[in-house]
Amino acid sequence: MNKRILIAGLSTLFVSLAAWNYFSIPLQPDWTDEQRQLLASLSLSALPELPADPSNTVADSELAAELGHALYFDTRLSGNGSVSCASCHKPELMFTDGLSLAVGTNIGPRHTPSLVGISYSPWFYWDGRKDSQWSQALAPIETSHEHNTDRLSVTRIVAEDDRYRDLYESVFGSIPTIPLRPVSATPLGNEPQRTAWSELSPAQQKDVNQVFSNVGKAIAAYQRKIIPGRSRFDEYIDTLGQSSSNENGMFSSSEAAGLALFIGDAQCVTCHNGPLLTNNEFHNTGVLAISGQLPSMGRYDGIRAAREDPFNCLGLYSEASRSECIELRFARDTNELVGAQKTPTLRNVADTAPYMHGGQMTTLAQVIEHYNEAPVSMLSHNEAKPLELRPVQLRQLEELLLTLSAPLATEEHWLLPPAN
Amino acid sequence: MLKRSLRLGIELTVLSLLPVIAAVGSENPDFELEAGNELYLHLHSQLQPLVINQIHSWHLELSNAAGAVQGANINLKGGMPEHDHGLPTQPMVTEEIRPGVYLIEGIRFHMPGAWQMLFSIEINGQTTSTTLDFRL
Repeated sequence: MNKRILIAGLSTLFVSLAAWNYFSIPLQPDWTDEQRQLLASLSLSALPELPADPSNTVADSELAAELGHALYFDTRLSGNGSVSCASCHKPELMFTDGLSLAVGTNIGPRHTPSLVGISYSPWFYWDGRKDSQWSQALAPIETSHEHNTDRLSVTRIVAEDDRYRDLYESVFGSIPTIPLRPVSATPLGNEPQRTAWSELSPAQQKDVNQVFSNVGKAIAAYQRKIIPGRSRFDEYIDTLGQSSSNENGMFSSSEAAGLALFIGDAQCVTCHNGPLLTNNEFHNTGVLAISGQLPSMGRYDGIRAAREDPFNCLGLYSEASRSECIELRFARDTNELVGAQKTPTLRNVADTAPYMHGGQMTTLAQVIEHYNEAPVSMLSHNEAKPLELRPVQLRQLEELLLTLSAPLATEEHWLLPPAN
Repeated sequence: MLKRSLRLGIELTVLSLLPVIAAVGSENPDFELEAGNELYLHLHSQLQPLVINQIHSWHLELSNAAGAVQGANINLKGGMPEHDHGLPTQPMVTEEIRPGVYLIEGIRFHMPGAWQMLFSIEINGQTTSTTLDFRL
């Protein structure tokens, strides 16, 4: 008798545990008006026109984009002649590289972020150390583990290549005379490069900086073409607007449950909001330090670097007025930003593994589990709190994220190297 | 009993909202606050409707029984108490654009939910503080 009770009890426990882990709570039959309003704000239908970049007056010039397109794929813009922007931001991988840490001329310290929809962001890099897309485009060119070349070499390539020169002069006006010697010079390079830079006259330095910044502005004009395409996620939400039920046939019940979690108990929408599913802000979410590195100071250091950057919105090579540099002037720099990294877009997220600023997580399941646990941060504090979701709910979230994959809205020819 | 609790709940909610006299919500971004010392703040967002993820300015109109209050020294900070973090920016009063009307630049909200803005207003050496609660 006692044995039977024990078996019955154990069986009940087993069935209950299995149900808890693997069976979904029935989804509510209808979204509330408040939920529908929030969901509508996540659809690409709510994506506004690209914001103007007052610091780059050629940001929306087709000719500038054509020049930028060519420069983006040009491996001559590297020290070893084999690295271009497209080496890490590969169009075929949604402008990422599939690696944990970027590899240019050498292995770098950070994971390559996607460029999809990034032109909407006021800040660039995981730590937001650049305040414009054109200024960002300049940095890898002179970084030793990325392109590993220098601004003088780059300006010389533009001046000496007939096609580049023609395009450049059509967009920016006549190109100044670039000195033949030294061979390479930059204030940021190795000692010989820095010495060579210091030996250029102030007028020559200004000319080189001007052409170099225009190279960045052309590349940014090209990158503004990289826009996400409508996915099943958007179709589902837009169809909801015309129906009173969850059952519009666009989502499985599991995907719909994932969406309810995304805007509800899982709290994803607190940071992954708006049509690009990012607030373009910086958050400490307790991600482990990158192997072999100290924990990153994140945005705390990033905003300080942005303020010191000669190519920032308030700098000589920006075309914005002081009053237009609102983001930089009113940026926060408090201790809360220690260890904070930029929220990435979730558009095409299933196609851009691995994840996080160091590519520390290889699967979406790991990322979701990380937010479910919300571990203590190595630096400062984790803004996220443990979610205590069940395994079935974690899988529903993952299924939802898969619905965000879609071909880009970008015209095909921008995704390929330019025809010569 | 349940009815009574519900009524008490509603009363408490209404009481908690009393400092915010005007309508609160993303469709109507005008707020009015009484800061004590018969000091009134009228806040008008220059972004209409007030939505997340866009940097923008507010106008703060400061008045008391005698009319517009000029020359005030205003500091503000804000955040989301539920998430234990501040604003994503550091907004500041940059100009008194008309007598008693102050320009606040650099405001951005980056999450949906409950927000708080704390105003500290110094007039003739006397400081008054008040808090605005609203949801986006």
